[in-house]
Amino acid sequence: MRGPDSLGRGWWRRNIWGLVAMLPALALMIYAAVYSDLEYWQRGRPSQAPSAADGSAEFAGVRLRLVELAPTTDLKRYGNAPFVPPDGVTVWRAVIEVESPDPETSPFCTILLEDEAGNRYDVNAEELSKARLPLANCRPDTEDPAPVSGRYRTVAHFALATGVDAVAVRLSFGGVDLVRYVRLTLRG
Amino acid sequence: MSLLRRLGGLLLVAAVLAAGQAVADSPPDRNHQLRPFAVSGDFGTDVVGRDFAVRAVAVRCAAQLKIGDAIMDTQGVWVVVKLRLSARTEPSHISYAAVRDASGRIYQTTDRFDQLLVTGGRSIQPGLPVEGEIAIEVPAASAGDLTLLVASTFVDHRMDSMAEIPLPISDVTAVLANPAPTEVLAPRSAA
Repeated sequence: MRGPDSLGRGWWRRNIWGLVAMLPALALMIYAAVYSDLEYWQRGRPSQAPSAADGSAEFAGVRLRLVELAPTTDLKRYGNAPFVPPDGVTVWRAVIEVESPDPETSPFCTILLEDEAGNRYDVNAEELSKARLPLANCRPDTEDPAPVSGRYRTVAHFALATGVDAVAVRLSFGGVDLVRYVRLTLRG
Repeated sequence: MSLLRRLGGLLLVAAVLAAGQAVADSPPDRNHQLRPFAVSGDFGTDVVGRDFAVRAVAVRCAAQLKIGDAIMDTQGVWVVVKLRLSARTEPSHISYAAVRDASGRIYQTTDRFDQLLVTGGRSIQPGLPVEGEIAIEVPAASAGDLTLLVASTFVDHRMDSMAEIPLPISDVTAVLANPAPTEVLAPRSAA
């Protein structure tokens, strides 16, 4: 470290602007180091696709509308005996109307139920494993006659703790869009 | 600039580079930096991870297990732990359970029979806890100081939570002296 220069300035005075410039340079260096991970994380975060004012949504080439979301007790076991869920479990049924230009090529979907606290639930939970349930995948049910109008319904069942209320369903179409989902609620 | 000053500058740069390399090479290594987030808790209490909660409800040791009609011996001792598992905000699977002994050795749940509760085979919904037992073979000498490890990840546990619960096991000599087979409770809803 040299002594004062011809103007009488010491090392710190001579290098003050270089030292100040180090702060934004350091910030830029840290940002550049984490940028790719940050962008990857943000692009992978599930995001909600827009829906229409009437509660329906057009997504993955089909129009979707939630027409029923309520507890149900009329499930059957294989063999047609009534199904009784485990103690403390309430079964909820969601009915989603799907309108497709060609039901034969409608994409498969994954359906989650959302409760009032924002918790999510899978279709056909283990607690319902002894009930006879439809597949709930947004495809026309193979047991029904082929929908001529292009409009059909997909039915999903969920197991929730008794006393918890469901408020919405989330549908994602992994074969079409890996990160966006549609959130459907009941509209009067 | 004198030769001495130039030489000093070069030495300074070399020293900075060497120090940087030493920092990069020094422990902890990359795997250690990305190790699971340990979430410790007491036996009998809920230990809450990122996407699940686990409670070790009971633990016992046995010299033999009875799985269906089969009797399973061990060269060590069976540690049978009763777990209560819950999902937090979305459906979850527990895909890893093991015990760690005092010297750091890890013993995973046995694959001599299906243990769906902790091998990802049981989906757990929020608010609907599941109870069941798991079985792990350990050397008898290790049984006195074991910590239960539970995670929702299967193989790659990096940067995710792992529950750690010390197991209150005292003496296993009585169990080994009286090898009565014990059954392992299958998973069931505990809502």
